[in-house]
Amino acid sequence: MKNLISKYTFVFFLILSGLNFAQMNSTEIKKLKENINSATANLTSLQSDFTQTKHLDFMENDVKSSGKLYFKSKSKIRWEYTSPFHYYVIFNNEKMFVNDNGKKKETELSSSKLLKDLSKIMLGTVNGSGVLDETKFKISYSKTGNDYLAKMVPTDKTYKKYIKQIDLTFDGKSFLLKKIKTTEPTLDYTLIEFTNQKKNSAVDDAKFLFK
Amino acid sequence: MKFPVFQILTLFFIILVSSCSTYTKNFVSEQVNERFTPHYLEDFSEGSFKISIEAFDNHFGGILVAKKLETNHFRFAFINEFGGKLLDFELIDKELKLNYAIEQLDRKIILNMLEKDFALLFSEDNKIDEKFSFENSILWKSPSFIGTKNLYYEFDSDDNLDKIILAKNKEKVSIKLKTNENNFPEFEISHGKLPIKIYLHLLNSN
Repeated sequence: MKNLISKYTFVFFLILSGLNFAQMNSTEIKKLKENINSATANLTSLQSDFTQTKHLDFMENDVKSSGKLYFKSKSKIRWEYTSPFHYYVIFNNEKMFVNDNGKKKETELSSSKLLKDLSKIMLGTVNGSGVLDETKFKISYSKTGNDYLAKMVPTDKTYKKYIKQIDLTFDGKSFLLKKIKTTEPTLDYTLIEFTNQKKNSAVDDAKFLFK
Repeated sequence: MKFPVFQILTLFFIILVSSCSTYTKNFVSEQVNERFTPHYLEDFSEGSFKISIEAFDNHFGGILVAKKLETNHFRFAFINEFGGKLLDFELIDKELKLNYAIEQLDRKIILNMLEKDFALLFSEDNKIDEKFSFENSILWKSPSFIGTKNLYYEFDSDDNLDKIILAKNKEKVSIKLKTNENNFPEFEISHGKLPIKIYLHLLNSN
């Protein structure tokens, strides 16, 4: 009897979890990728607020920061933290500019592979399809509520050292990237959530000046 | 021309004191047997700090988190602004135990420096065996804090902890404290003649 109850409980939870995370078939996945691609294909600019939560297992409280993201086609990005302190990084014209509370630094992206990768990741957060890299990750897709979840597990050796899994959540209506959760091998994670996303609204060029 | 003998003597004296062939020579001293924990550690359980490092004309920054696990056992992690973890270590009775470091930071010279710097800041129940008075300042000595080097707590005329110094004959590490609205002061860590400075200020605490 006890066994039967636990069996039913298991099935019940399986159904419940199935309701929350419906696995998608190949046709649905293809359709989702098309939707993500077309949502970003005509993207000329994007502004968004974001909050970042860093969870470290040994700490009771997470480290929270927030700020604004600006993008202008094809590759201008300003990633700006306003809390808990002012810090921003701009990618423009193959260069990176950092302003850390008044301390400024400009670097050519060609000087380091790491910086090129960083710039790619930043652009990928705007152009969601760019981060769905099936050469370096095994990706599974599911529907969660109204949104879509892509779970990326690295197959690449270097990535495996730093990343256990990346969860990307795409908005079910706009197909823009809504959440990125990067889990480290130690299970510490970083969660970035975008809100108030404005697609193709005017973004001042001054946002991308190195000053 | 009148020679400014007094000024020169004062300057000479300041140089002598700051370079200190024996660190506390010329100070009036008193032998004591006490224990001391800096005020900012008394109720500390965990916190996050903005950390900036100026080294050889380079600037690095990020967030440092710290948690007290037990008396004289703390755990720290250094993360960059984007949340990437660069370093994770513990300090157990002044000794560093490394949990994780990115390749670029996994160097003995860097880890030894951090071990010393953080031991100076995050050390509780320290033995004090001598107190010195000098002009408006008071120095408390914790003997043989690291090897044969002593630690000195320097207080200003209002009894505020003003500086923490690691010295034998000369200052090896000096930490300037700047009080603010938090219980936790801001810190500026200097390393003698080495052009490496570390700045820490509290963002959140519990």
